Formats: sequence, C-alpha cells, structure tokens
Amino acid sequence: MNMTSLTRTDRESGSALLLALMILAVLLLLGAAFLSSSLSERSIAVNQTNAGKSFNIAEAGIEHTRALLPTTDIDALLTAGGTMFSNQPLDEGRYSVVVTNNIAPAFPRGTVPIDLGGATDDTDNYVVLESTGSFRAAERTIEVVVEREFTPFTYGLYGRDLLRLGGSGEAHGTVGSNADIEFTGGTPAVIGDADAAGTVTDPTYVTGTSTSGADAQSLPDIPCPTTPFGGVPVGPGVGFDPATGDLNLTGGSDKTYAGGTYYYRDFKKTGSGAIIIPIGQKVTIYLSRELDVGASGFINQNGAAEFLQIWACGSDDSNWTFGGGAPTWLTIYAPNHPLTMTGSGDKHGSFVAGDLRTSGSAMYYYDPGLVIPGDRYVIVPGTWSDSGL
Amino acid sequence: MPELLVSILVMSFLVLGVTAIYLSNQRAYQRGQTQTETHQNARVGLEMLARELRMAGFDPLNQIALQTTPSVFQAATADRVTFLADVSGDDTLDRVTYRQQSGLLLREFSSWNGSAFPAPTVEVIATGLTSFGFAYADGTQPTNVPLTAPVTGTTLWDIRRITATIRIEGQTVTGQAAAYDLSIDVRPRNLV
Repeated sequence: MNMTSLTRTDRESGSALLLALMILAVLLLLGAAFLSSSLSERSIAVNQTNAGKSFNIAEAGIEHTRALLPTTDIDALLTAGGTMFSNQPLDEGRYSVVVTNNIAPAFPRGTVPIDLGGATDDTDNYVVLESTGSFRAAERTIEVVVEREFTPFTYGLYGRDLLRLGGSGEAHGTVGSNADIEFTGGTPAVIGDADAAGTVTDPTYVTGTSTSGADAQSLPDIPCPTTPFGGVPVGPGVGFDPATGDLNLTGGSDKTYAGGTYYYRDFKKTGSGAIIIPIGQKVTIYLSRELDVGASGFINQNGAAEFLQIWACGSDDSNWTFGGGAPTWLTIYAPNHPLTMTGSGDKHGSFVAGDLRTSGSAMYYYDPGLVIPGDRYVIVPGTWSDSGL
Repeated sequence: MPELLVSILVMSFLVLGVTAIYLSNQRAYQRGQTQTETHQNARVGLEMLARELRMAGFDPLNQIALQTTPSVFQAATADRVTFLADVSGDDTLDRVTYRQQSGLLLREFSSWNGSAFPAPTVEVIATGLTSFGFAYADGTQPTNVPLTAPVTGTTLWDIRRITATIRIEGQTVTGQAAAYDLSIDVRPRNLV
C-alpha cells in the first residue's frame, strides 16, 4: 500500500454516486419536460372532445325542448321565466334551455316578426330557444328561433263561420269553430270535446267538455299551384276541359287516381261509380272554385286520411257539397267555403270549412294519424347559431 | 498517467455516444412535436370549418336576400367551398371561403359592408396537406344523394350535407412516410 493509491481511493470515493445523481437529474429533467408536453397535448385533445360533447348536449337540449313544446302551455312557461330545463343531466354533461318570446328590442329581426303579445303571451307561434350544454369545463350555447308548423287538421270537424251538426250521425273526436257550434240532429252529436270561439249552443249534445270562448284558429288561404289545371283519374266517364279546368266524373264505372298532385277549377262527381285511391298512392287535389261529390264518392283504400287531401286554394267562396255512400278517409281544407257533408258513408279524417254543416247518418271520426307529422316546432331557417368555444 | 489517458478515451467515446443518442432523440422529438402540432392545427382547423359550415345560412338580418345570387352556398367545388353566414355573430353577413392552395388550407373571410363584400382577409388554417376534398349531398331522405362536384347553378340550392376529407403528410419517428387522415361530415342547420 502506498500514499498515492490511498489518497486516490480517498479522493474518488463517492464520485459514482455524484455521477449517478447528475445523470439521474438530467434524465428527470428530460422526463419532466416530456411529461409536461404530452400532458398539454392531452389536455388540448380533452378540451376539444369536451367542446364537441358540450355542443352535442346543447343540441340535445334544443331537440328535447322542440319535442315537448307542442304539449306545453307556452304562455304559462313564458310567465314563469321561460326555463324549460335547468341543468338537465345527460350522460356526464348537462343542458339548460330557456324559452323566450320574440319581442323588442331584438325583434323584428330578419324574417322573424315581432310578437306584439309581449314577453309572456305568444300570439304568433314563434319562440326563441337558447340551450347551453356543458361537459366538464367546456360550455357551448346554441340559439335558434322555432315556429309552430301550420296544422289545420287538429279537429275532426271545424267551421270557421259556423259548425252545425245535423242528422243522426255522431262526430267522434274534438270539434271546433271560430264562431258558434249548433245542433239540429240526434243526441249525442259529439263523442268528445267541443271548442267554440263563440258559444256551444247546447252542451247536452256533447259527451266531453264544451268550451265557449276558446282561442280562434288561424285558417289562412292556401295559394293555388302555379302549374296549369290538369291530371285526371283513369276510367270511363271522365270529362275534363283543360281550358276551364273543370273535371266532371259521371257514370257507373269506378275511376282510379294515381298518386300525385292534381289541380282543377271545379270538381263534380255524379253517378254510382266510385273514385278509388289505391293503396300506397297519395293524392292531393287543389280546387280553385267548386266541389260537388255525390253518390258513391271516394274510396280511399289506404284507410288513412293523409292519403287523400282536398285543398281549396285562393279566395273563392262558392258552396261545396261532399257526400257518398261508402266509408272513406280524407282531409278537406276549405276555410272560405260553406261545406255541406251528406251521405251515409262514414268519414274518417279532418274537415275544415267556412260554414260547415253535417246531415245524414254518416259518422265522423277524427283520424289521429293526422296530428303527429303536423304538430311540431320547426327551426326557422337562418336563425340557428352556435356560440363556438 | 496511462489510466488517465485510457479513462479520457473511454469517457470521450461515452460522451460522443450519449451526445449522438441525445441528438437523434432530440431530432425525433422535434419531428414528433412538429407533427403533433400540424395534426393539432389540422384538427382545430377542421373543427372550425365544421362549426362554420354548420352555421351556413345563419342570417339574422336577412341579408342573403340582397345578394346577386341569393343562395347560401356561392361556390362548391372539390377543393373550395364558399358560403354565406354570420359566423362572427355580429349581425352582419359574412362570406367565408375554405380552399386548398399548395398544401395549405386557407380561410378567406369578408364581412358585408351594405353593398358588397370587400377583399377578404386570408389566414392559414392548416399546413402540410397532401390532399383535400369536399363532397356534397342533397337532403333526400332517408339517404342523401351525392351531388357531383363542382356543384353549380341552381343545384347549389340543393346542398344539405358536406363532407371534408383532409390528408396530412408526415413521417414516423424512424423517418418512414406516414399519412394522417381526418374528415368531417356536416349538415348545415339553417337549411331546411
């Protein structure tokens, strides 16, 4: 053993530890830097995912509200502050939806008018929805104006100027009028409710609730098609004058319609032949003047009123008559025309006219299939916006 | 003395080796970092595109009706889409174009001044694109029918769905070429 080696051993002992510590420190630093960068990458990705989720949750809030609005008392909701949902949980997020009326100063705005009913009375069927979706730290707001879609077919029988129920037939479902409801036939006349903006003259004819002074329905004129008159059913005894647009169906043979839209001035049907709407064929008929259907009338083989629709277009107000011995399914919308419904064939669907009178032994059944596609709130184009992140 | 020389020799080899490894790692790390950033930008860019496309037609003051061609979509080709919407939310209609130009995804933005759209401001949304494409479809239910790009004339009114597909060039850490695909599928909410 000599001094040199002794001294070196003394001086070098512990250097490995120092070296190891230094290397460890460097590695730790590198590791921490790497970790922080990948953590920040991760948080960017997480933020983006959360933002996407909060958007979808906000949209779910809009859809949920739109689904509930048709069965909601809008004025009561507006009076109560308009909160449709408050922190409604969905998955791990939540949405809050507020309904407001389209009032000043924000409205009128673009294509959306101002509701003169004020903050708590929705008179024009437009409302504003604001839905905020949140997921973890992310939050996103969607704002949109929705409008109740025009649906004239919410009543079995509806007379704008008068509804008079005569004959021995009964009306099943709700009937209504923007004026009075009168009864001249057998009792009961209405198996269901009767809503009159005027008065229900004798509630004993009504099995359900009779309401006088109900809200009047908006029954706007429908514009006529811009296409020329035409389109005819197939079969013998079909007379059509393209110059006047008058269709005259006569004789004892059946006539068959193919699915599509038809447009006439006058529609007249006599003779014992029926007019057939085959299964799967949806027929829409626009009339600018008169309807007179007698004898066998229409046979709608679909058994659903939406497959045969007769619309009065323009502002003509000539008398309409609809009869027929066979049961049928259809809708009639003719708010300007006095309409007399006769015949022994049961009629399923919805009938809206000016002065609407029933006679004969036919039963009237409201077709509940009509209300589902119509009664909904649709987005007003050009009003949908997303706040972004 | 010889021990010192040997140890210096060994040490220098060691340091050289470690440095080489460090530098190569650093390069790989940088490459990865750049790539992550490219991808991140592309993702955020596409998300921005999706949000704005979804709002296409948002027109609170009904200013689209004032345009020479009052359609929401003004141009729709395979590598460019131009639409009208108040994307900035300031009650003024904006004209927004997304297009590809030599590997860049560009966004052009111009706000209606009451009579015209002034020259747009252009910003780069994403870089490193090797391919970029828009596809269009109409609103037919239950399945949308594709509209052949370029969509022109009255067919521009039929657009109800837009798919944007983007491919970004890239490399794996070992230097092999790798592609990164992203796509969005948007149904504008203001078109019925």
